[in-house]
Amino acid sequence: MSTLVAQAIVSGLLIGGVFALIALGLTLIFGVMKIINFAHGDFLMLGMYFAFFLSVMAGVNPYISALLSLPLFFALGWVIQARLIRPVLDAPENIQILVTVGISLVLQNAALFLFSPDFQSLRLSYGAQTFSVAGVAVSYVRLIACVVSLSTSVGVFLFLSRTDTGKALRACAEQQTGAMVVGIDVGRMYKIAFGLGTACVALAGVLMTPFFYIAPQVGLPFTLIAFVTVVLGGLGSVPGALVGGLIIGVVESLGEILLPSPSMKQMATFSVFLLILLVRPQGLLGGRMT
Amino acid sequence: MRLAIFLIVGLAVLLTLPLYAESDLIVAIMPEGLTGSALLNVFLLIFLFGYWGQCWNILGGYAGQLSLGHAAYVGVGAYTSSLLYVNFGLSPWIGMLAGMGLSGLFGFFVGFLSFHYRLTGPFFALATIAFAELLRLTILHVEFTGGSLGILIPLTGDNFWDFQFTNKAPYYYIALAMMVAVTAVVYWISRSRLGYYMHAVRQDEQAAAAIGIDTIRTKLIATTLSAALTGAGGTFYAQYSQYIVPDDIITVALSIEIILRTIFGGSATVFGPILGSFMLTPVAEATRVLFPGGGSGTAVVQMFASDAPVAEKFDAYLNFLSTGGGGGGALFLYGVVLILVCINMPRGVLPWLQSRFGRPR
Repeated sequence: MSTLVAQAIVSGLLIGGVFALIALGLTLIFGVMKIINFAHGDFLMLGMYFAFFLSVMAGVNPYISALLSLPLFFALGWVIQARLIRPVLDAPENIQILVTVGISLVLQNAALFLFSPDFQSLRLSYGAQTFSVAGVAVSYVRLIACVVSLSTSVGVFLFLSRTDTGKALRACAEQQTGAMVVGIDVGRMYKIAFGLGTACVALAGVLMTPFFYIAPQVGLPFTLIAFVTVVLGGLGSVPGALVGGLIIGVVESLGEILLPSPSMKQMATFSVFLLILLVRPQGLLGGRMT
Repeated sequence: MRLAIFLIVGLAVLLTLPLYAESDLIVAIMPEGLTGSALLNVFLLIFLFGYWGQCWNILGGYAGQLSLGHAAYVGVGAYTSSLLYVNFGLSPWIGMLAGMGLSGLFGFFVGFLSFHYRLTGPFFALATIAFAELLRLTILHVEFTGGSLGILIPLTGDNFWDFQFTNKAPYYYIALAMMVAVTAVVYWISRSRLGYYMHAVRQDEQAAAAIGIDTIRTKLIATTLSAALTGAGGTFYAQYSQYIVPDDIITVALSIEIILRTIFGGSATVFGPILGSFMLTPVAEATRVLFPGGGSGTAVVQMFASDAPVAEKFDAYLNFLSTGGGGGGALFLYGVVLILVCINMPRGVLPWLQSRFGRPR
């Protein structure tokens, strides 16, 4: 039993690192623009198909696709913000949410139309290989996904805390009028935030392709997991997203072995979510962005 | 006055439609395959989604609380009546009342927790999704609901007491009656003290509280009423489709379909959801018929990975897309409509029409 639990904790931490990157994208967009993006998981799905088709059609290694995905999805996020989100920034909150719900519907069903609901998976020669540490098996591709996700998150954190653009983003998050007064182009910061958030979640999708199924509907559970993570860590907080991601990863993974049926793991996640939402909506580390 | 005449004529046309759904005139003007019972089916869906849209309108429109989990109440209504019928032979008509009671209770529970912990806007929306997902997972994992196999309603033939009919006309009239009844309820709410309270809560909750409105109580009444009425639609759905399974009913997609027509037609208006349903449902059904989808993506991927010449691959892929690809055409269209409406006329079509053509108030 104890190795089973240890195995679950290790697997949970590995996937938790990826959850952290997904949540980071969501929290960045929320922190700066105060918009909750219900299409977040669908960009993950797009990232997965991107890596999948590059690999199937051109034989591109997914880790090269990971590099390619960053500028591509940054640009996609930028354009979507400029064309679809910006016009509703002054609209009531419900309308803003519904626009992102609309984007989610469009992306999901475009994928359904173009790629069909069939589950796809990317098979790499080393996809199933593991090494073991003290009786606990560690998958290479999951380890790579976790390490790359966490280092990207640290990179984003450093970007926010060290560079001028990063500081301007944080200024927008904290005090928008103040940011405008000191001459920050708030509209541009919004586009950067949305682009960066989209690139983060798409990268997470690419990193997951070697060990996760690919389907048009794969995004929704991840949108929900990202919400759970972000609410757990505190909306808008970057360290919160990291801690929240790791916690949710372990909760899911433990839920999988401790609950009577593995597919009940989501119940554990949603219960934690509601509990946090109701009891401590500002999250564990709520408050500031960095 | 104009409105009253329009409504009476419209209702008369709808009431008599089953009588001439297969007449020569209809066969002549409607596309093939859209006459008789297929035509009634489209109208029935218009009524059902108009009904659900109107139920959502009470909470999401008038009270301004964005619920993205209304599919859960559909599920409670559908499962309550079906379980009572299958296990105890209780008439689904009584099951419908029980379903309304339980879904109202569930709505009250969701609202009570959410509002007492002051969840607003996106947080309330998220909580409603989470409660709906928890309900779906629970139904999937407990035995007496049939789990992922769902519940099949045994056929007993034409039997009013069993809520079963062999042709579509009775279902058509029931759905029409439900839509008209809920519209009357919404009309009454819009003119009542409760309606004004809801209006105040939607506009500015703090200001509403400051002038002495019990905002939590108002929102709770809206949630409970909206949930209970939605549940009755769930029973109707179960009896009409005669087969229910959690992954078909309690989905975010259904919740969004319920909302969409109301937003499109105009939320917090009496006729917005009905207008929205009449405009959007036929488009969606037509898309489903014209682009059925169902193509195999696995085959497409194998073809892509093969050594065939590029032109051949391209042709094969176009062929796949021309039959509707893998499906999803209707919901894709809904997404586009939703984005366009939110950006260009966030108050919906009906208020826009009124401001252009109506008399100034």
